[in-house]
Amino acid sequence: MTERKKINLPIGGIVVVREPAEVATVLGSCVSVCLFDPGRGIAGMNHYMLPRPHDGRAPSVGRFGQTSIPELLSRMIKQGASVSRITAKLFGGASMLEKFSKFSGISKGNVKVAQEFFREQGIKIVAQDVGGNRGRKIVFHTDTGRVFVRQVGTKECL
Amino acid sequence: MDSQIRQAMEQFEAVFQRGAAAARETLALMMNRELSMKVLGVREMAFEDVSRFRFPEDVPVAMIILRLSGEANGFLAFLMFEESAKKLNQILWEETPESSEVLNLSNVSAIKEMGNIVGSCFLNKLADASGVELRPSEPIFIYDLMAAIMEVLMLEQSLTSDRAIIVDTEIRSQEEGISFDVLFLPSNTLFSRLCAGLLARETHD
Repeated sequence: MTERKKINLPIGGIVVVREPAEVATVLGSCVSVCLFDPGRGIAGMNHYMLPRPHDGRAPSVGRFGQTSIPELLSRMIKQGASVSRITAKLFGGASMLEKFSKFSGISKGNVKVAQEFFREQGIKIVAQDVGGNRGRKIVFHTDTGRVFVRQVGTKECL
Repeated sequence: MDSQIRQAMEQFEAVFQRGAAAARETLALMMNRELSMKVLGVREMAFEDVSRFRFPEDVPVAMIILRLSGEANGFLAFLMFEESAKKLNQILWEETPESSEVLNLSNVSAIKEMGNIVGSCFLNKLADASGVELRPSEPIFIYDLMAAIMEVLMLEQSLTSDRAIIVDTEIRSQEEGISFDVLFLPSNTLFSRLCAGLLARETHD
């Protein structure tokens, strides 16, 4: 059985690894992107909160999809990953308290910013579990690229 | 923690004790039975640490959330661990808990009832004691992973809040008791106004 290092990714976190790891996070309206280069065994994941900064400035790169996703991709490439081999999986973007949220539409915006970025970069999204109105716990096995998703009362692997 | 905030936290605890007493009285009248409710402790912590304060982040919790508006904004949330939520019916209505995996309608109804009562009693006492107007929204029930709910609240409040107040509370009926938490997530403006109001009234008293 593969020994995997356990990593808990907080909001705003970005991680890239070459060794087997289990990267876990819990998502509500936030989104996580899991990138995997099977040829080099390089994997990365982020957890961002908003599509883009309100005033154009991003005090924290990891908090915004617009800055976090390019940063994640750039770190993967620095480690030796190739854009032509990288595949992406997307998770999160639930609308849990949409009725009384003053940030209505944020969750959809979080998903859209990732989809648009990968389309522009020519990176294939091979799986996604986004939207709905429930939170998700995801666990990314960085040596296989598999992602396990759990919602209250459910469990599946993508 | 500076001494003014420490003093204010003592005031918060005293106010929430009165809120718990009022909630106990309302519930006991409604249920026509003896109940006790008390605040076991009040803590202040950094907003971003709240999802890790008690539960593993991926544990389901049941929560009643009230958005506050008025002079300043914030949230008050009543939350219970899944297991406690299942036992609440036993406390309130002497129903035998079911061993189902998820909450049933009766569990949800009990949580909503108690969340509404506890939430409004705590807010009324806080408004009376501080002189700050607090207008709660319609309560919203949510049952989901703790960290996922907190993430959404954090998104709503992150631009204006640095801190959260956790009120560790217990309700008992005869031998059976369960604990629950009240999370108070005031904006920085609301927190300052409440502290000023509570400390000013303490000085007058």
